[in-house]
Amino acid sequence: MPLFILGLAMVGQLGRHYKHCPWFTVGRLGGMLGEYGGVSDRQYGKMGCDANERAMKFLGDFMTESVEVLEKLANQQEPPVRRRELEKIRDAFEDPKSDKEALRGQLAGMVTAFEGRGDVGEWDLEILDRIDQCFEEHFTSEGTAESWVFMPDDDRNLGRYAKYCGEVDRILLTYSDAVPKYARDYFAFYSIWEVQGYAFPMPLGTSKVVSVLAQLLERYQPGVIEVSCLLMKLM
Amino acid sequence: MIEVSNYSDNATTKGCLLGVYLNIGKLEGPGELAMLRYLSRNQQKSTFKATDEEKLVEVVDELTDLLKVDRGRVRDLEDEDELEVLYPKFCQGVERRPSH
Repeated sequence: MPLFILGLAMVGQLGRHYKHCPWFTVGRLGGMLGEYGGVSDRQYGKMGCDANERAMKFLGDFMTESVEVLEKLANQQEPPVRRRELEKIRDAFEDPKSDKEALRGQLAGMVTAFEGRGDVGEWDLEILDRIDQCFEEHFTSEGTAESWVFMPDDDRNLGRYAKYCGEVDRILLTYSDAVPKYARDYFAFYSIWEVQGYAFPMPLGTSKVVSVLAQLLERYQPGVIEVSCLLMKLM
Repeated sequence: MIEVSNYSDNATTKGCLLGVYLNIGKLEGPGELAMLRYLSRNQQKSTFKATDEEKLVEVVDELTDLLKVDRGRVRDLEDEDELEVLYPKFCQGVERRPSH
C-alpha cells in the first residue's frame, strides 16, 4: 500500500498550507506519484527496498501522523486536565529528580481524551502558517535544519522547543476565536513529548517541519537504509 | 474560466466553457468535484494548458477527496488497521492510477 500517497492525501485536506511547501513540486513528488500511484504489488519494509522507498514511507507516515495530531488538537471534548496544570506537569518532566511515573499517572485521563478527534478543517491555514514560522525561527537557519533538530538529549533542542511551545501557545491565545476551542489545552498536553512516545521534542508537523524531515532523509539516506535493514533483520 | 462562489459541499458552481455558461449545481461528491476540475482546465488553448505542478495538485486533490469520503466512516472501525478496509475508495483511486 502506498503509504506516501496516503500521507499526501492526508495533508491535502489542509490545502495550500502544505501544497505551497518547497518540496511540493513535480520535481520532488511527480516521479514518486507516477511510480507509487499505480503500484500495488511492491511492499515497503521488505529487504531489498531501496533507500528512496524507505524514505518515502517514513515521510508518508509522518505526514499522516501530523494531520492526525491536528485532528486531536481540534477535539471538541473538554479535556479533563486544563492548560495551566498541564504546563506545570510539562515543567516537572524537565526536572531530572521528578517522579515520572507519578506525573504520567496524573495524565492518564488526558491520554484517553487525546484519542478523540475533531475536524482538521477547523484549522485556519494562516494560523498554521504562523505556527510554521515559529518552527522556522527556532529550528532552522537560512532555510536549513539545525544539526540538532530531532536529536535526543540535546540542550539546544530542548531549549528551542521550550521557546517554540511558548510561541505556539501565544499564537493560539492571540487568535483564540479562530482556533479549535480546546486547542491550547490539547497542545499543552501534546507538547509533553515524553508522554507522546517520542524520544525527543517533536514540533507540530506543519509544512516546514515536513520539509526539514524530507531534507534530512535526503541527506542521511544511506543511514536510513542501514538502520532499516538492521531493524528488519531483528524483526 | 470557472467561477466558484463558495468552494464547499453546498456551493453552487457556475462554469464558463467555450462561451457556454454551465450550472454544475451543488458540489456534493467526488464526481462533481472531478467535473469542476476538468472544466477548470483549459484544454483548448495550448498556451494555457495545466502545468505539471497543477496536474500534481489535481492528482492529490482527487485522492484527498476520496480519502475524505472514507474518513467519514472510519470512526466505526477503530480496531481495523488494514488500509484497504479503512480507506476503500482511496485505495481504489490509487489502484486506478496508471503505473509508469
